[in-house]
Amino acid sequence: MDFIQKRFPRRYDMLAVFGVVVFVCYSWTLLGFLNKLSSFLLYFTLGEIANILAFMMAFALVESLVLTVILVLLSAFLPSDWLREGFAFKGFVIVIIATVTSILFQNILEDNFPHPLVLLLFILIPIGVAVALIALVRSAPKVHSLINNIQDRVLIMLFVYVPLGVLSLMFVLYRNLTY
Amino acid sequence: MQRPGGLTRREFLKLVSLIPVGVYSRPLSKVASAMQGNGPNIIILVFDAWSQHNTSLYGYRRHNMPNLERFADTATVYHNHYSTGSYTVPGTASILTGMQPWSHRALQLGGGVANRHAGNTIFSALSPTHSTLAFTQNKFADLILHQADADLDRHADYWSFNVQKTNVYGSSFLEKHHRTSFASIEDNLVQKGEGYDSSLFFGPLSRLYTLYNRFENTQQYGNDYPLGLPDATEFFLLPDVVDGAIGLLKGIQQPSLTYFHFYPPHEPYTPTDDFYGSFADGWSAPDKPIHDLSDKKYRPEKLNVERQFYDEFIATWDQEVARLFRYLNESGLTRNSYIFVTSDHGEMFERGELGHWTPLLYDPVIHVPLIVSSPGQTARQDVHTLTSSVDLLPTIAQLSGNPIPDWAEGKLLPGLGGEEDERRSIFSMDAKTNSSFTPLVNYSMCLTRDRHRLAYYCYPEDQYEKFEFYDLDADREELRNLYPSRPSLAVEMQDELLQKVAEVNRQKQNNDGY
Repeated sequence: MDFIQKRFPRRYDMLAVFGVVVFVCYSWTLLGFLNKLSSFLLYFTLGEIANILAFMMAFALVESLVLTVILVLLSAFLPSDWLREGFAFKGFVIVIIATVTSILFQNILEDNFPHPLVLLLFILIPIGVAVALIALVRSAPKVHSLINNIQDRVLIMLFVYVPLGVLSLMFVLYRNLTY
Repeated sequence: MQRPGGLTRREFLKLVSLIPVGVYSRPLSKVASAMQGNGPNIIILVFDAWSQHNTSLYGYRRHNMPNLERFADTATVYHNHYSTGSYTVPGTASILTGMQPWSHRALQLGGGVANRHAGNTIFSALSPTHSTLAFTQNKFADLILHQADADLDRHADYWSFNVQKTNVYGSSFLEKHHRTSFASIEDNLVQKGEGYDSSLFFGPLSRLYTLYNRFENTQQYGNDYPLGLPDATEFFLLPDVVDGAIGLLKGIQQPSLTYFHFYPPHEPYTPTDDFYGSFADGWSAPDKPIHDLSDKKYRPEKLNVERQFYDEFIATWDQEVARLFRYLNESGLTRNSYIFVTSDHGEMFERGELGHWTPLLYDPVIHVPLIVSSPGQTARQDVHTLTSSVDLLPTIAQLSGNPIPDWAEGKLLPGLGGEEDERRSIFSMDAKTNSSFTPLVNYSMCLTRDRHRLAYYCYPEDQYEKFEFYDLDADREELRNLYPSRPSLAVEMQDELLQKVAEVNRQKQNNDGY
C-alpha cells in the first residue's frame, strides 16, 4: 500500500486525467461515427447502426483505459517529479498535445510509410512542446487553475461516456459470445 | 417409473445426451449425402473487374489471354453476357442470389443482400446435394459471402493467401457480425489510405504498422512488380493465390459447388516484370467525349496509359491462372465439372472515367466474359444471344439436379438447357447513392435489347436526368446518341424501362420487409 502511495499518482489526479482521455477519445470517435452516419443510413437498419455505435463506444472505452493506464504506469516508473507530482495538469497537457499530434499525424498518413525523419519530428516536437507547456503552466498559477477548472467540468462527461462505453462493451460481448 | 409419454427418466436422459451428437453430426450427414450423389461439380471462377472489351478471346486487338483462349477451345463462349451491376457489390450479389439489384438490394459499397433474401443463394440452392466452398479476395464480396455462411461447408478467409496480414477486423473475435464489425472497425476506427481514423490513438498506430508491413513486403517482393505489388487493400502475390485455390480444390468433397472470386485484374493494375511494357504499342482507343456525370474527368492520355497497364495485368493474370486451368484438366475435374469463368463487372477507360466507380453504364463496364466448360466437352461452342449474370443460379441449380428456386430471376443459359431468346431484355444498374430501404429514386439503369441500348440517368438530387440510346451493331463504341431523334425503338424501350422501375418501386412500397 505504501509502495502504491509512493509510486502512483493520487486517485483524484488519475480520475481527472481519465476524464480528459475519455472526453477526447469518445468525442473523436463520435465525430467519426457521425461522419459516416449518412452513408450507413443508406444500407444499415437502425438496429445495425446501433450495433456499430456500440462497437465504437466499446472501443473508445478500452482505448481510454489503455491510454490512462500507460500514463499512470509511466508516472510510476519515471522519476517522481517528472510526471507523478502534479499528475493531473501534466497528464492534461500530455493528452491534449497527444490529441493534436494524432490528428495532424493522421492528416499526413497516406499510402506509403512516412519518412523516418517525419516520424522523428512527430515524436520529438510534441515531447518538446509538452515539456515547455508543463514548465509554463507550473510557473503560471492562473493557467494551472484554468486547467483544474476545465478538468472539473470535463469530469462530468465521465458520467455519460463511461456508462455508455460499459453498456456497449457488454452488448458487444453478449452479441458475439452468444452468436 | 413409467412416464405418461412412455419414457422412463433414464431413457429420457439417454435421449437428451444424444442431442449434441445430432447437432455436431449435421456436417457429416451432409458429406454422406454428397458422397452418395453422383452429380457434377460446379466450379465458378470470378475475375474481378474484367471487361469483355479488353479480352483477346472476344476479339480485343491486344493478345492478352492466350491461356483462356486455349481453355475456351473446349467450352461454350457467351458473347453477349452482361453483369447486372457496374461494381462488385451488386454484380457479385446477383451472381450469388440470381436476383436483380432492385431485388437483392445490395446497392452500396459495404451493403449486403436484404435480410429477407440473405439465405437465398447459390449455396442454399445446391447444399442438399453438394458440398460448398467459397473464397473471395475482395472484402466487399466477402461480406456478402458471410451472409451465406449457414450454407457454406467451408468459407476460406479473404486474406488466406495474402502476404500482408494486417487486417484488424478479420483477426478479431468481434468478426462474428461481419458487416457491422467491418463498418465499425475496418471502415471507421481505422482508415485505409487517406482520411481520419475514428480511433484517436489506436487508429493511426495501426495504420502506421500496416504501412510498415506494406513497406517490408514491397522491399521483399517488389522487384517482380514494377508498378507495385498486387493489392486487394492488402498485398498478395499472384502465384500464392493460384496455389491457394489449387490447394482448396484438392480438399473438396465431391460433388462440390466451389466459388472462387479472384481480385485480378481489379485495379491497381500491377503487371509483373515479364509483361510490364509488353503492350506499349502506341495504340490509342478512340477518343470519347467526357460525360457530364464523370467525376474525375481524366484526360484520354492518362486513360490510354492505364488501359495499357490493365491489359498487361490481364496478361499477367492469364499466365498465372493457366496453372489453375492445367490443374483442373490434369486432376480430371474438367471431366466431371461444369466450370464457369466470368466477372462481377467490367472496367472503363473512356469519357473521363477510369475504373468502375462510376454512375455511367456503357458497354465496357457491364459487358463481361462468360465461358462455361461442360463435363467432357471437346469442342468450342459460341452463343451470341443476350445473357445476364442472374442466369447463372437457375442454370447451375438445374445442372446440379436441384430445383430452380422460386426467387431466381434469371433464365437458363442457352446451350445449358435454355433457349436462345433474341427479344430478351437485359437490365444493368447502379444505385449506390439510393437507399436500400426505399424505392429507386437516384439511379442509373440501362436496358439492352435488340442490339440496342437505352441508358437512363436519373439523379433528381443533382437535378440531372438524361436518356441515351445507342445502336450496338452500327455504333459499337456508343458514340452517337440517337435518343434526341426519338426512334420508335427508343420510345418502346423507354416505356419498358420506366414500367420496370415503377413495378419494382411499387413492390418495394407494398413490401416493407428488408
